[in-house]
Amino acid sequence: MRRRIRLTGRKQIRKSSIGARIVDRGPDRWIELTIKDPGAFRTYPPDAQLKLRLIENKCSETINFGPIGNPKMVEKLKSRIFAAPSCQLRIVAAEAMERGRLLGSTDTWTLRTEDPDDTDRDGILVFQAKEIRPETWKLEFRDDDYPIVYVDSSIPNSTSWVRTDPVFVGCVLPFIVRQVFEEIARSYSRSEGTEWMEKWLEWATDLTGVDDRVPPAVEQDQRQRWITEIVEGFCRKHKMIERLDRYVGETQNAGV
Amino acid sequence: MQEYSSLYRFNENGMEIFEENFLKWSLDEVLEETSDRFAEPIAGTRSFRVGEMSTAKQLATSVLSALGNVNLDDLLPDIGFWSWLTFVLREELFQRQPSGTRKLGERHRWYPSDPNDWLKAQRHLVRMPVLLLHSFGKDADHLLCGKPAILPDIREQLTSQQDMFDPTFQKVARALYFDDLTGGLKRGAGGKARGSARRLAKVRLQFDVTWELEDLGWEAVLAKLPREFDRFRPIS
Repeated sequence: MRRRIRLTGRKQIRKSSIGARIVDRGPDRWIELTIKDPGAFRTYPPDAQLKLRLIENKCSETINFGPIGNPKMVEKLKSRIFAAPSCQLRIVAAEAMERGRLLGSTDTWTLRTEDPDDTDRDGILVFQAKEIRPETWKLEFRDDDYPIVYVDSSIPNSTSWVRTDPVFVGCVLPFIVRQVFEEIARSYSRSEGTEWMEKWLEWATDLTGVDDRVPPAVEQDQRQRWITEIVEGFCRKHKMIERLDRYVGETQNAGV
Repeated sequence: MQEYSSLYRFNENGMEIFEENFLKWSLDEVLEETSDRFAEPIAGTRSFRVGEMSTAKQLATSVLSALGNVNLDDLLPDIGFWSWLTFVLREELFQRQPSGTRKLGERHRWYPSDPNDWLKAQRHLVRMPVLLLHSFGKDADHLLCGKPAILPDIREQLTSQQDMFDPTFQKVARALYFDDLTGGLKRGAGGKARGSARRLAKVRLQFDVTWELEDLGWEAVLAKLPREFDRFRPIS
């Protein structure tokens, strides 16, 4: 269990304290902010600035919602590029002597477009509907947030479908897990561990009991065994073969 | 010198030929870049001239001016558009070697990756200069002062993370590493030495959890940098 120690004095704000969503109104895009837990913001000076930083496709935009004592709840976005940006709430000192100091921040999260069917928003793998045709799904890695699986928006209820369809779950998800750990093996290093990778490593250890240390790059065979062990543990735990077998049997029987 | 009446994007057929044959470099005979069998013009764009371009900034300037009123945001994920540009700019980007072949280097220098790919998107020799000039204007000088064919270490170092796309951070980097007198980089900006761009990328991570760079202002950020950056500080 690793503990995060903050030496800078900034406070950690829970992501659940706020809500944010992107709204299209005519030709413009707006971002709406909701404060769900006012108590989380009471300790800050009223003139501290409430900011939301969005990053996607190598573009960034920081939206200033004004003083925390009287924030605006809607602001216009300058850029139209954002579909599922990585996002972080930041509270910044405005007082002259401390101007620019970061007083508090949330972890980053992916701001997804609205999907009424999607209730699971805290997993380590993000699903997002997006127009990606002719591909049906696509895995994307980010440096500051969990991997995201785009599913083509033409598929009805796409983000629910990928979690429940036995064929997608049984055939595609294990491949996604393998891809994620291959990315972790390629990019992870202890000194600059990316937070999402640590969460995935914790998940793998809890699930399969594998070592949460990535085998070194020179030990390619050991790495591949380590990844395979995780994927197999994942499939065993969720009884992938049995689920798929049952589904295929039912489908065939229904067709007879 | 070649002039096109507008910018184009490769269609599915054009993309297939571009991707399969760019490495072989037999496209000159196969792919006609304005034929409707391979490409379609992009409505609203202006004429585009391909010629001598001595820096990545010149290349980016000519693409941006040809965009006209078309929003760059809409074209960033358009792989067909960036591939078409790569193809028509091939003489500027991948010069022929005496053997007649061309050295293309890593795939994503010429084939546009997904723009959100955090490891590869910054490598494209056309899209990234255009995006940098569009986002930061003059404050991207340090990233774009080299030849279009070269992906400089400083660009790799200072654009590899998404939150480096911050105007204040890039303004600080320009002030440190760009020499206004020569129009090039200061000696030692690349590499791994103390005060180099690689070190600035590390220091930025510390600043990001302590300061909001935009509110602090670029001059204050410069003043707060450790002494290892002293040799690059602009003389006030």
